[in-house]
Amino acid sequence: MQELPKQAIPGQILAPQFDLLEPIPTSNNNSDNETSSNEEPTIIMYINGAGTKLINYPIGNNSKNSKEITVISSTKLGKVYSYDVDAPSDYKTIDESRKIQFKMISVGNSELMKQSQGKNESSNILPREGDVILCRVSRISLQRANVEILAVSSKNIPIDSGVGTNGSGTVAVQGGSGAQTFSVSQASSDVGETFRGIIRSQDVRATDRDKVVMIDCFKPGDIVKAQVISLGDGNNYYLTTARNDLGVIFARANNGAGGLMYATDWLSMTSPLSGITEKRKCANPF
Amino acid sequence: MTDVEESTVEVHPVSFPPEILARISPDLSLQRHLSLGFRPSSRGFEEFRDITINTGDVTRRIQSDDNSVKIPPNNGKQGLGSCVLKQGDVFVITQITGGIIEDITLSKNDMELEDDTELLEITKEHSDITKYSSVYPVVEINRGRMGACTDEEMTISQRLYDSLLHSHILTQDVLRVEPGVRITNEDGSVSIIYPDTKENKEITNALKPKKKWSYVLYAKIEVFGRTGPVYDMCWNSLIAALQSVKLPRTFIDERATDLKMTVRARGRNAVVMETYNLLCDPNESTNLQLRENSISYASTYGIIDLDPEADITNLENNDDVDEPMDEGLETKTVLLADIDGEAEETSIKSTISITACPNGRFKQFSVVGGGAKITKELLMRSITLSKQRSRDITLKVQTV
Amino acid sequence: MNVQDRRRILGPIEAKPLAFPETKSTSNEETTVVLPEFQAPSIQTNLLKNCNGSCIIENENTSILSSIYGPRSTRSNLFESRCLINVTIKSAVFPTSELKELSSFLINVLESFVCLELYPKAGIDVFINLNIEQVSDLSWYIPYIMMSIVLGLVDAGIEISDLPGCGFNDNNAICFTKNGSEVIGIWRDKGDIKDESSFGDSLDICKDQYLQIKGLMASYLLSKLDDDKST
Repeated sequence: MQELPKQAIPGQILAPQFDLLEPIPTSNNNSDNETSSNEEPTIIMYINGAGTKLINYPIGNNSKNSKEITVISSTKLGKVYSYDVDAPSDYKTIDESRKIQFKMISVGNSELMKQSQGKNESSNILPREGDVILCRVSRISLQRANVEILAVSSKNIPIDSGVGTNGSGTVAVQGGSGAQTFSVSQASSDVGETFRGIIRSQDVRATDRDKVVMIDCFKPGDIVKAQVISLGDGNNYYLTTARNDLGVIFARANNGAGGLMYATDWLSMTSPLSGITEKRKCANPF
Repeated sequence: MTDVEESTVEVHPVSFPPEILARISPDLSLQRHLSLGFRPSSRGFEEFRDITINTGDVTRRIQSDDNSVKIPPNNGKQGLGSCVLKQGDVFVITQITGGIIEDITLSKNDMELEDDTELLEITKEHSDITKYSSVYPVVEINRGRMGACTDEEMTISQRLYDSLLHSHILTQDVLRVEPGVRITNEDGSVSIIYPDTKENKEITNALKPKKKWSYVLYAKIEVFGRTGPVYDMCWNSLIAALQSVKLPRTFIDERATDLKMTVRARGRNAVVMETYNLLCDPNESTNLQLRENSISYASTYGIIDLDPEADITNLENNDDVDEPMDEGLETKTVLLADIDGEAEETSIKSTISITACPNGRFKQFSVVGGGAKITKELLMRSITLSKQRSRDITLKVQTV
Repeated sequence: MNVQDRRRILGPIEAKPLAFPETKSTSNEETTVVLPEFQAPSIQTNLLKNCNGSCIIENENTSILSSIYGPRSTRSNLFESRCLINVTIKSAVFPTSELKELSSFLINVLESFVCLELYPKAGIDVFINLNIEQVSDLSWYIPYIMMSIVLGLVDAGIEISDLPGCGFNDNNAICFTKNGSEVIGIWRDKGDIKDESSFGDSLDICKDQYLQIKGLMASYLLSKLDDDKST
């Protein structure tokens, strides 16, 4: 078995997909390890975690006897982590006599990687199904609330979604040419260039789903904690707040004019300064 | 940072890392920081970002010490002066390029001045705006976009143009072209005569066409890594770049002058006479004369009311903060120098922008009241700070 | 362009750009066509604070800045399961048509090594600013441009399957990956390929250069990792 490198750069080969736990003294290189795996019972199967990729790599320098083996290669710059994991669900045991250990290799640089045992792709900032995200409500209709996604919890924040990149720091008197300015990837709109999502009325809460009145649940400008239920269509992610810990977390009274409000129960929020109480679908703050 | 977060935890047991709080609720994040006595960038309230200025860095070396003159690529896009300014994490690159325009709006006043440039000194204090000139700035803020310029770029460009014109830094007279004449001598060698000496002046006067030309200056200002409002940086960079401008001397080939035309007896070919080709001398240049005592530098300030709510939470729930506000619920207003960062830019609506000379003269002063209480003390304080800042920047520009 | 852009302050239309006399040293220029060998440039990443990744590659008279924005949302209304890549090159020296051609070339090269499938519904925008003093053919700059894009992508944390690179020889700029065993792009500015063997030679030279560049990038990245650790 070869030692894993401590840190990796993109393209660096970390380990072959299959390796022996205890090397036979006679075999020193990878190809031997793989072919002689019949003799030794314990095999390690490496699984590519975050920041790594399975690739076929040619071995043997001369073109005559070159063959390809499957290796795990790094796709990122960072430290190398490996964790013992269970067999992946799609893995089929071919030969019962073999003992197989599974190890997941991931490359990354953050604390998040340690906490999630290498499963969380800390630097992949895109929302995934199941991710809890924070979003700002931009529009309300009877059926749904449109939101812009600000941050994905437990993931790094993309730098370029800030005002420095997107900012409407200065707007000309007549609204200016904002509509004509677009990034290569997206035309800018009034909601900026963040990913957008939809909370449909039936996804607001788990009970009484057909009696939801959207305006009593969200107001434009509210910061909402929600979960991604699907990647949705080209435009929107589909989100849900049908859980106790999901819902409005920050809101200002009087449509943003008043002070910050705090949740008093799961249906209402109160501003401690003015005493105003407004209706919201609140997230359980505790 | 951790203090802020701990306090958040106690008020609101759902906690967020500082950077997420800053993104979802920038105003709250800013208020929390301010109530602890520092800004999100961990600068003090009246602390400016560090600034470094390099001028003449990208400039085509028109005049080098030896004869090893670099031959410029002949595409007409040469920089006459340039400046790389770094303030905090923001880079501003300014390149000054030039053009020549035929002067058709000569007043009588100008005609009189023609022979005596000493008069320039006397007219210096003349406040007539037509005496002064500006550069044509195009501001480009790099933010991963394509297409038309943004409002911000347009606004800043226009503001730079107007401010420069009205700050009287650049006079029309220094932009006037004094063309020399390129003469092919009898032995076939080519020389250029400039009207520097009296003797030469007579020659050039004899050969010179009756037309007048002026330089026009363009500034291309590119902003990289924008993190906050950039007007002051653009202005400072433009002024620094202007100080490095070297105008190439121009000449007319003698064959193109009036005199030569008649000698060659090409008939009454008036069309040819119109198209003078002013050429620039790659070896000779003069420094652009700016009016030294008008050179000024800009700085911005933000004014924000401290939110008592954000502070109360600290008082009630965070014992670590032992400095309760004496005024209780009374709002306190603070002045923040050099606004930068997302939280400050989005939350601070009241701003002061001052363009000041180091000697205390002011070129521009604008106050935007965005709801915060702007007191006389704050205004005076910002004026004092702007003078200091202007002096600092002057030193940085000069030491280069 | 008859219509003046009224959104920008461009100055009077009648103004003419400064014209310098034609230099008589055209013979000189031809001798300088012998382009300098690949010089190890200075590298700096994480320069700009409003994009996810950036890298500046500087030589004596070139400075190439890449800024990487994204992955961010796209304009497309269709559901894209892979991410879209855009490359935009800005330069005052080269004509726009040539730059556009180069950017579509670079997009193809990038698509071969960026892990596109990891970023559904998203787009990655790559902006290149060329600040070039000396005018030489575009292909000479491609190795440096590639280098700055690759390091910018690494800086942005975008997953790439390898550290590809590009070599330049005899008007050919050839991009390699996987230690030179795979060619992912060939750019040629001008001239015919006279025979296969000369092309094979320049392929080998480019490969050597690629390995040199890869070594540079790898050592830069590793030293950066060490710096991170010590701080």
